Amino acid sequence: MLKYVTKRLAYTLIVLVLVSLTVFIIFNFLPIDPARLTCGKSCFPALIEANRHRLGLDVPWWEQWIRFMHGLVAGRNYAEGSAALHCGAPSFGYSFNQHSCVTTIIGQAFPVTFGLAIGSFFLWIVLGVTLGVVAARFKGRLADRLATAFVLIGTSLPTFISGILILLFVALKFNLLNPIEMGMWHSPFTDPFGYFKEFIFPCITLALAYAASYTRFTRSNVIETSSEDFIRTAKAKGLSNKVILRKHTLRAALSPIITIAGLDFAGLLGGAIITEGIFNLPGLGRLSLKAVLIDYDLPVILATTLLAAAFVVVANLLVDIAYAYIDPRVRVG
Amino acid sequence: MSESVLKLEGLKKHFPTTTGGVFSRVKGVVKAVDGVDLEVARGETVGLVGESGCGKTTVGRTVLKLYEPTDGKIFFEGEDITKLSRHEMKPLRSQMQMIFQDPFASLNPRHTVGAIVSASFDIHGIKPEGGVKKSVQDLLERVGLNPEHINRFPHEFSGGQRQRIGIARALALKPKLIVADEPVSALDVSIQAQVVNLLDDLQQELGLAYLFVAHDLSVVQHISDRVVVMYLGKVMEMANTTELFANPRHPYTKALLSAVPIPDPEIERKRERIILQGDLPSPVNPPAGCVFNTRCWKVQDRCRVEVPQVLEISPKHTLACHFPEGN
Amino acid sequence: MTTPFLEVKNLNVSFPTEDGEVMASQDISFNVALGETLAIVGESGSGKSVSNLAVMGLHNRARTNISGEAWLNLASGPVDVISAPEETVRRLRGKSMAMIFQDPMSALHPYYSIGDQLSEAWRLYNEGSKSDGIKRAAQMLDLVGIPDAARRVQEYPHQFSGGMRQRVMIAMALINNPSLLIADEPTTALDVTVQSQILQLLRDMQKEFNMAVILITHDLGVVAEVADRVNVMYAGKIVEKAGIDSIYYNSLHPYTMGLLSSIPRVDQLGGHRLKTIPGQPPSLIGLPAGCSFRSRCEFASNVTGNLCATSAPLLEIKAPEHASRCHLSVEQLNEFNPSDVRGTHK
Repeated sequence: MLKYVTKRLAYTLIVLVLVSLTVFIIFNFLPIDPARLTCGKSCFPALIEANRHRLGLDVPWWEQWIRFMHGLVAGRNYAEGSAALHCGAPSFGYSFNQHSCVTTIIGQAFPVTFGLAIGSFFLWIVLGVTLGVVAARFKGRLADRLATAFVLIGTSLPTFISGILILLFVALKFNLLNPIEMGMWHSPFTDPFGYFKEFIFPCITLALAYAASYTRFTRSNVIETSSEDFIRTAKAKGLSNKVILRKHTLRAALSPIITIAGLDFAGLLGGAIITEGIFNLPGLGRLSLKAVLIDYDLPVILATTLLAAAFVVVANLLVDIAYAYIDPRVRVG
Repeated sequence: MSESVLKLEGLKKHFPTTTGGVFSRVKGVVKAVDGVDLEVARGETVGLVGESGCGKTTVGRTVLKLYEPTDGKIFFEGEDITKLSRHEMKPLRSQMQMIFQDPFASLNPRHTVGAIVSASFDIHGIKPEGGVKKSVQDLLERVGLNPEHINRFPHEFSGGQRQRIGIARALALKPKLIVADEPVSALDVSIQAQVVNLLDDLQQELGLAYLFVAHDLSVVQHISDRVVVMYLGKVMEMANTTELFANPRHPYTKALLSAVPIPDPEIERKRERIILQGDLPSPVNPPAGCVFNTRCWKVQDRCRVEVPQVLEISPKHTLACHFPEGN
Repeated sequence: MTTPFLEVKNLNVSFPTEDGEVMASQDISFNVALGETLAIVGESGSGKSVSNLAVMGLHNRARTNISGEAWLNLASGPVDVISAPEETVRRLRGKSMAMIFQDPMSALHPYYSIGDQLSEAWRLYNEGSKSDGIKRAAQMLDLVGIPDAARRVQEYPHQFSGGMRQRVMIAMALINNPSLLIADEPTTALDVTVQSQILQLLRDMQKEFNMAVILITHDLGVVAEVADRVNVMYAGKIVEKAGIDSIYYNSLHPYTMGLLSSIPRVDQLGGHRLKTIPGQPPSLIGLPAGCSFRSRCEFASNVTGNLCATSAPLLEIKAPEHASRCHLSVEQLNEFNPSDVRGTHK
């Protein structure tokens, strides 16, 4: 088991390095000069070249990559003398637009996205799995048909519709959310109620969409597992239906969900652009959107892209380890 | 003695096993077939028997070059086809056909019987005499199906009938050799006999040679002229059917025969069984020396170190054993 | 004659489907005594498993119509497992009656160790800790001939070969010392040398535990090897029922006769044509009136009138301890029986 984990960990590190390289290559070939973007209207050639040097953009891309990787580990200095800037480790670069280390910018946005992701994750897993199991258990009966209707609505309703509907006809209509306060940071530690109010509606919006597909997935997995030979064996042993469902059916039926859930959660950590937009949440999604559409803030785009990829790669690792723990066939093989 | 349709010389097929993952490495090889000599004469049926993992199916597929042989030679009608490319094989494919075990999985459910049987004509660009439809109907009739059912789909037929469709497909190009891979083992007892008889009749009429791959010794004994017994990729014993079943010399053959139940309670009560201990060893890591030594009740030290040579102990009876059973 | 442990009376099992009611098993009656092996023989779709799954209560009651009786003569008094409440039947499963299945590859839970799965079965009916259960599991594995049992209880199903898994299944079925073991094609998925190991094991275990054993199979060779009595099934009904020798040497049903002469035998030379039963079994939906076998029966024309087409024959006693579902008379059947050409009868 330890050997398996070590091996997977090594693979993950290699993949992360490859991902960062790929991202660097892509950015190198973009038809945009990042140095040109540092000074806007006040640009003149000498300034651009000076900024290019200050940002370390005057060296080949692979050297930029090496400096970036070094900065991640050890922090990084930009420019010299009085204009010198230091971004501590892990440094994701420096944003000229916002005059701030990218790590600081991300450090502000990430807790928002993380809160949104974890809240909705919890909601959709509980809702989706419960509905799926109930639907499978009462296959063909009313509960199943209601669950099917939920699946249909949930999967066909995009978040930009369900989000707006929830915002307009629930949150604002019943004065549950103050439009002026929307997007202001409430610390979960000093103002738990404010935090909860801020996050509950976007979490529900996101959870609805995911829960629908999880319901469908759980339902079909439970039904399929119920007809397995080993379930019949469990019944022939004399186990009660309750024990069979809990110990035998669910264990086999739900383990594939771990894979999907892990990857979905990781995907969300990269930012939920639409939902964050609707509820004016300053998370990673909005940060990337703004960096791409308005500021051309390349260091920020680079960092968010890398982070999003890294989340997925790390989630993959965790899912694989969890799977090895659950399924003995993976462990030995 | 008629000339041989198929001849194998030292045929080997090894499959590499890998560690999997991104940086997959070769871990070892499965010696599925490890040096098989075999000959099938015109109009003859050679039965290839053995338990799961003995390599009998791999032999069948390698003969048709569905797998590329690792080593050894395959001769078809005297011609060495071992190194022929896919393209060069094509004209020969019409002369060597296969019948599969699972009559449910081996027919495309979206094609009509007519389309399935006539597909070979299209592939080989052959225009049969009297037209395609007429030929297909003749074939259906020959295998005992109603020629009017040419436009039906596989699901409208029972298991036995589907196996007949598979046989009609194999016959379409008038092959000289048919490799039949467990053709009756998925069928019910009463249907099995029908298909076995059909294969018999077709051989009589068309002079077909069969390589009949099966695990059921009763069926193999009934249909074969000669029988080859395989174990872990190697031939243990080969002889005329009568000789092999009356006078098995290899301990494995003897154990295998004694394990086959006979539908006769009186005989069963009197029978002495040789019950082999344990399971088949893994073909990834076969035992040194004689591959059967881990389960053989006659095993001696020599068997664990020295691979027994395949020897012809009497005309047409070959054997690979250091300590064969007496006459 | 001892009292039978299981008495099945007029058991019918059918499944409603969109195409109509599938009459999977009709008018099934049989007994099995402790220490006795009853073989139920038939081809796929003959209903040989269905009636036994009903005895075990393994059908989904909501989607199956079951009528008739199946009495287990327990020490505490007889129980009809067909009419008894679900909970009562459940508490008999694994304790008084147990079952093993065809495919040992898929019959064990892939995520739990062998020890866990056996111990779960044991602890259901015995007071004891999990480690007691594992100890008991190791004992059982040892009993069914799994070497190094104490270590192997910790292993998982995928680490066992097919034959070993079937041994595990047998160990699990017998862990609570049941009086009835139903073995549904227990060796069909196994190689022939492993098959003889498992059949030997089943015989040994039957002696050890003094069980009634029902062996469901399509293989008449296996039946000849282990059975005391035989029920032959065709199209959902028992068509012949007798002691083992009567079935093989003096069969009184055309279907049994046909089956016996259509199988090649390893102890007889080939070269002759196999006798075949023409056609194929009927669909179990909307079975026609009359005898289900008549369209394939070579002797149907010997029955006077159109009896085979108009009236379904009853399973009647035609000789001592020998029942057959056929309109032909015993004399006719004896005359038609080709067993003398097989040359091995008494």
